[in-house]
Amino acid sequence: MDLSQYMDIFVAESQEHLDNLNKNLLLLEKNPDNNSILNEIFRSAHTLKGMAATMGLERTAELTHEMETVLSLLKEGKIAVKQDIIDLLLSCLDDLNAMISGFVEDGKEPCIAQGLIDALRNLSESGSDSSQEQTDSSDIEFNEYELSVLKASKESNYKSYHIKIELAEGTVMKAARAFMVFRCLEDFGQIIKCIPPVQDLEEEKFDNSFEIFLITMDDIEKIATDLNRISEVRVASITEVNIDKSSKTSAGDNQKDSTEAENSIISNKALLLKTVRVDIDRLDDMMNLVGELVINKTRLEQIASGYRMSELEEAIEQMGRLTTDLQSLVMKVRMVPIRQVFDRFPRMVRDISHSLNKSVELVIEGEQTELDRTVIDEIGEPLVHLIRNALDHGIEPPDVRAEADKPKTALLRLAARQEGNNVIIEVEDDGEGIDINEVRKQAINKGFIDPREGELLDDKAVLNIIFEPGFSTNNTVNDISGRGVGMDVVKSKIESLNGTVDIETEKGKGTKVIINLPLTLAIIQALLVKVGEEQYAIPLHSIDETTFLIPEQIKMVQNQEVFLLRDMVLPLIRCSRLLEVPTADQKNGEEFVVVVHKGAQRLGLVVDQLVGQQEIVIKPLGNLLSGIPGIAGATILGNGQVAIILDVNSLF
Amino acid sequence: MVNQEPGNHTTEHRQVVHFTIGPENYGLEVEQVQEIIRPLPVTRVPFAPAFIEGVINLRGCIIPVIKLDDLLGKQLSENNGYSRVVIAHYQEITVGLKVDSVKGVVYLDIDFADPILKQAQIKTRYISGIGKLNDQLILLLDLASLLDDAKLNKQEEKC
Repeated sequence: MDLSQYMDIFVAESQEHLDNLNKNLLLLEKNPDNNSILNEIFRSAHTLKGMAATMGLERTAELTHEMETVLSLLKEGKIAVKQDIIDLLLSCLDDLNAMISGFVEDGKEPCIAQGLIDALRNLSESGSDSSQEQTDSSDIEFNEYELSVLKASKESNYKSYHIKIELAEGTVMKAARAFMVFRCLEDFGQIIKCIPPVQDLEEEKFDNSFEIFLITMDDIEKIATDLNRISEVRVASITEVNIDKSSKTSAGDNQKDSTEAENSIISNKALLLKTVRVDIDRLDDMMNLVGELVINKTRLEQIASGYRMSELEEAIEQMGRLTTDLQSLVMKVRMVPIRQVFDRFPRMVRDISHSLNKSVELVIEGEQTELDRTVIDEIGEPLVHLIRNALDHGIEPPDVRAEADKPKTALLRLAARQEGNNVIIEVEDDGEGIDINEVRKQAINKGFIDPREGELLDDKAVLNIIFEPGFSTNNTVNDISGRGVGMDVVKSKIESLNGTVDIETEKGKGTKVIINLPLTLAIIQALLVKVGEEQYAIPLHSIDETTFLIPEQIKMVQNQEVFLLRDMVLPLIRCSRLLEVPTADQKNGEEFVVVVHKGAQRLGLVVDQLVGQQEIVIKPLGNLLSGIPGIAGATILGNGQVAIILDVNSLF
Repeated sequence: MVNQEPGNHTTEHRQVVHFTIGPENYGLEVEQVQEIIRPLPVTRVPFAPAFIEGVINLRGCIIPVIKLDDLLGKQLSENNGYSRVVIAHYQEITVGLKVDSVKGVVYLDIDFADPILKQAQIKTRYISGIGKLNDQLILLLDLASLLDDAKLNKQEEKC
């Protein structure tokens, strides 16, 4: 069978299960007694095993199988949840991940994980002396409804049987065999419960055996012979159910937990059914088309304004509302909760803080905050840098913390929230903070600034040196950070997403890195300006203000025009000269200054006319023209004309 | 289809779009032509290489327009109402080429080794072959080398 068409689904789903396992294992470490978490873990591992086996990943299936054995021992309480077991299971996840991605890349799974398989086997052998007797009917738990049915049937002289069915090795259509068994038994009486649940049987999520509880008045021998007549099916055992005994075992919290878990599984299933996986490229196409629609709508509005037909205007207004709705809907479809990125950090923080012998509590806030898919894909890497930095440099070892009268367990806060059209992400630690004077000293030593300049720079400017390439205050390079490549990567990545980074720090109290990102990349607010006859768009997020150009405020400093705005001295750039606009030299009255910024630097762009603020759809210029410095792309205006979007960052 | 004709010239039968720039006749293989449109308003792109006239909006796609006349050392006639833009594509790149008029689509026997192509005094850099239509000579445009040069030009300009 050609399985390649299922590859994408397999990869996506197995990734989901691995993430799920990861998250729940960490939860389990914190709440070792919670059975529903264990059930959830068990379920994910089991599904993963099934999927891996179907795709022919034998090693993956073997490893998950051994994990399952250990998990079931944990579930039965035969071994206790301890850190070393969680460690072992987590490293299994790493290997599973490696095997699956290896399989995806070169079509066969790498031969790893034998050590882990052995370790798991040892663990399960030492833990289980009596795992054989586990499926005695007295161990089976019934819920309240099933119990009441069992009791009622006993009162009216029905008998309840526990039937174990085994399918022959290599049975192809297991679900069909199970269905035949059900049909056969339904002739005799009522099936009140089966293990595994019917849904799993239908989806073939079971090995070669399953169990059924049947209420009947018929003779048990006859049922057995009828069942054995179905090919590839064998009755392994039939026992009468003793309700008194089972009712005792089912009382208490255990049962509550399991029903809760079942409920959550059911709701999970329901959620899965309502979602559709869509290729991100298709969403991009859709976004493009909606962008077109918006442009055409503006065009229609312009045309209609010349005719003064109220009916036409009404229709266009209606269409305007529809396009706006459609646009926001498509944007929403592209939005993904930042949880996707945040989810991997608990594990990372745990591993790094263990290896550094630091005790750290990670607090995550606002993980439901949504961001455009493209932003989500890019934001993970800078956050990893920031968190590593915080753990390695920011947070002190426990003994230092104790001396400084701080709680032994450090706090690392990762928070996201939406503010207008932006999303703010903060990474905050309560560590030792950044010593600004040390940064100043290092910056002078390493030649980033000259000594006199260093004395004059304010703290904020000094902190910004951290973002310079090659700068690191840490003199020792280690596994985790300190190579001086971190912060400049963070900054350039965030800026490529049209965002900004700021640091706030207080010595001894901690450091806070604040990332400000736009919600989406495809549509931005921009100011349209005219230079000569040409129109240009300047992204609004890099504009501080606009003002008249008053000739008296222009001064010359070393052949460079500067402009006095309140107390600031801003270099002036004449767009007509910068962009070599033809026919722009004749002065026709007023000129305007658009004050733009990059980080803390500011400059003024001189333009002829301010047209207005508008939402624009960013379009790439295509292969031939891409990468021209100074140009961020192009957009299509309401009249169908193309306007160039200026890349303000490259002007500094 | 490859024919051996007298004089040892290799000719191939090709379908080309026939257009004019100034007095000269040019052709572009039909597989490389996406469509032919009437001129649209062109937006100049600052900092762009000199051979780029600007960009146009073709149904929502932004497409650069190349000054083909400059590259070929020719001059477009004054606008006579017949001018067109040939939208051509080669690999991933789509460009617009401004021409004076489009005559039609014709089948030609193209000679890829005509001695004229090797003569230094004729600007043959972007011409890959020559075909005869009645008594006219049609120069087959080599879009690949044109766009390769365009990309090179861009890189030089960056440096």
